[in-house]
Amino acid sequence: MMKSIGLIFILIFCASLEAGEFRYLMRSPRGLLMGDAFTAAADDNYTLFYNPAALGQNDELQIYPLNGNFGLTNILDDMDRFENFPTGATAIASRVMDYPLYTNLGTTPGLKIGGFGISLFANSTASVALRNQTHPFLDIDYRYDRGFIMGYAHSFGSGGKRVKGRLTAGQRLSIGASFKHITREGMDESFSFFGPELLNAVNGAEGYSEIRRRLGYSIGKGYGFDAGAEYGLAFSNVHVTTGFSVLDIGDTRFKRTEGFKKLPRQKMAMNWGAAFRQDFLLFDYSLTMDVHPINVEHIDNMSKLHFGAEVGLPLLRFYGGINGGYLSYGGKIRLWPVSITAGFYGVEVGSRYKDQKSSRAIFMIELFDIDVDMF
Amino acid sequence: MKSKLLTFSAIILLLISCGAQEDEVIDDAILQANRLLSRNECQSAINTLEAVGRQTANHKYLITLASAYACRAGYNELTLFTDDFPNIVVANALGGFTLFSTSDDMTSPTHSSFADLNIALGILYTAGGFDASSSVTSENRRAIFGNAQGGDIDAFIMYMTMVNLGRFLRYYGNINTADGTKGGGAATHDCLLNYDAATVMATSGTVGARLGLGTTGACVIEDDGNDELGLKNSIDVSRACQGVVLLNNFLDVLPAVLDAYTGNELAEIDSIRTALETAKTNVTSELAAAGIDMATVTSQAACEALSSTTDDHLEVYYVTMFETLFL
Repeated sequence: MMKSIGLIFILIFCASLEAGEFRYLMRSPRGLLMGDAFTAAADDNYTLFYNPAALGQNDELQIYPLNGNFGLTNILDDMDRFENFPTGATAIASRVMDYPLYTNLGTTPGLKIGGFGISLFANSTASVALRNQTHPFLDIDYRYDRGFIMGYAHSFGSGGKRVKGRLTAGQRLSIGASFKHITREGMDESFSFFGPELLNAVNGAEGYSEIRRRLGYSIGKGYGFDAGAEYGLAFSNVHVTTGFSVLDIGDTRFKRTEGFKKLPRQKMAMNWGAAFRQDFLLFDYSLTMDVHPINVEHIDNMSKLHFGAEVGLPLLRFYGGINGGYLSYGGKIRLWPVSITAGFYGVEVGSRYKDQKSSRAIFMIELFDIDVDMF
Repeated sequence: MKSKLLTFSAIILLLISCGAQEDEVIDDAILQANRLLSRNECQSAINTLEAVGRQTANHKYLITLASAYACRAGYNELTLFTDDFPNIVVANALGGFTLFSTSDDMTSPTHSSFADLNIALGILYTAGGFDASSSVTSENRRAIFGNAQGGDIDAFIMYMTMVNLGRFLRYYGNINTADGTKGGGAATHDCLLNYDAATVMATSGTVGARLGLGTTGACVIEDDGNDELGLKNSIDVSRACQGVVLLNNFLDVLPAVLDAYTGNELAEIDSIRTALETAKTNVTSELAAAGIDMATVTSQAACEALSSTTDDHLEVYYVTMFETLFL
């Protein structure tokens, strides 16, 4: 019995995820460090994951051939929990009770040519939380998504487009849409810790993969659509944008090809954002604000508010923000052909404002990014 | 440009004003309750779940609500598995339950720990929307929830019935607290009920004859029970039925739960399975002539209704089941 309980704890620490958090298909590390206030500022290789209409401000050829990001629970923020860690099952359970564990590994190579963009992606996210002292539940949400997303934005006006390094003055309204194909592997289940399903999955299993399969790990394919609009206004060295996007319209559902349990849907998210940027050639800054996911009723309105800031210097960029009430901060160093982004952020994993923080660290490396003026 | 902006704004407002999603409200209540139960905030968890109304077809809601009442009752599954199960011994099938860490919580017949755990059990007995006055079985629930969720509910019922049986038998059984044997405590009684030796049994003849067989531990004579369960020929039906309902539900879910496990987590319980199932067969035989199948009564209301005119079958049940399995 103790062996089984021990194996389950190993499973908790080897996997990763948590319930209560709204899960987007992918998030930009830069965006997360800016408080996830990125809908109107998403001009990196994650544009299509925020608002396809934001492709409308691009007039360059941008290539992002190699990149990878890694995220995990920031245990440095809760060291007391891990000091003098106990050995008994009951004591371990008490110590990790209601502590959300998270890991993420992803990559999204892609390119943008003017208003057209395409990205490939592979992203693995896992969260585990053990909850309820009386009758413990193990909540497991694991997703491994891979596929592609492609989109196009049509613009009316050219305000805010960057041509030969300079902003074009004027107004612009861009309307965009994107299409994606996702192969999703994973599960989103809650198991009674001492129920037959979980204990039987562990008993006699030959390794982690078999435990996962027994618990209902499934594979499926699905198609999804996004749409959005963005308005931009530029004058002098100032660029103001506001955008609205609907991601995974009507939910992206998956047709199961393997396994026996339903795959978690990619739920629809409505997002609004605004950004104010000013560029002084050697120094620039941005202030951003987002409200998302607007359509998800059970998330507290205050938790939907996101504020971000970015300060850019030659070779260095600094990020900060408030992500639904939790601080985020980090930076990026760019020494071509390598760029490294790293930082910390907090995210709400309960459903009320400042209900439960998951403290996370994120690291990203990009290689051989290329921006070329098309005109 | 202005008309485009107006259209854009109208679409946004339309999309934002979508109605509330009830499932998300319930899921949120379940998450909140489980978080509260992580901190042992039992009453807040109960309030959170009761506020969204009883969801009789939602397996996770029902288990979480039951666990909230179980929390208030002092129940803890980790303790049960790691500290309590090892007390179970083959030689005294139900006696080991009295040595569980929570068994001395009950200090009166209406003690809140016992009552709250019965509320938790009642939520699961009737999972699926069954009437509390009908004798619902594991099979009935599985017909609604399926084997995976039904099995989950059964396992939780089994664990909680063991805890409340431990309390019930310890409170009424005058136990020796060192080894859990009946009649070894400070009080003078050696039986649970105050039996009438003349009560008829189908195969044993009478209760008196049954007590003389030497298979009922210290309980060997009539009228030697706990007066809080009633006097001779005047059994407190309500309290006696509490024991019947607990044991019958335990016996109802036991085979399905044990058969579903592939590991040895429940080895201690498996070790007493044969004795329990034999006693169940025996009580059915003993009451066959009276046309009463007490071993299948899983509802308090049904048990009390069955005992409204005579309580002889309760004596037969207790002497065949409890006095034989709890030595």
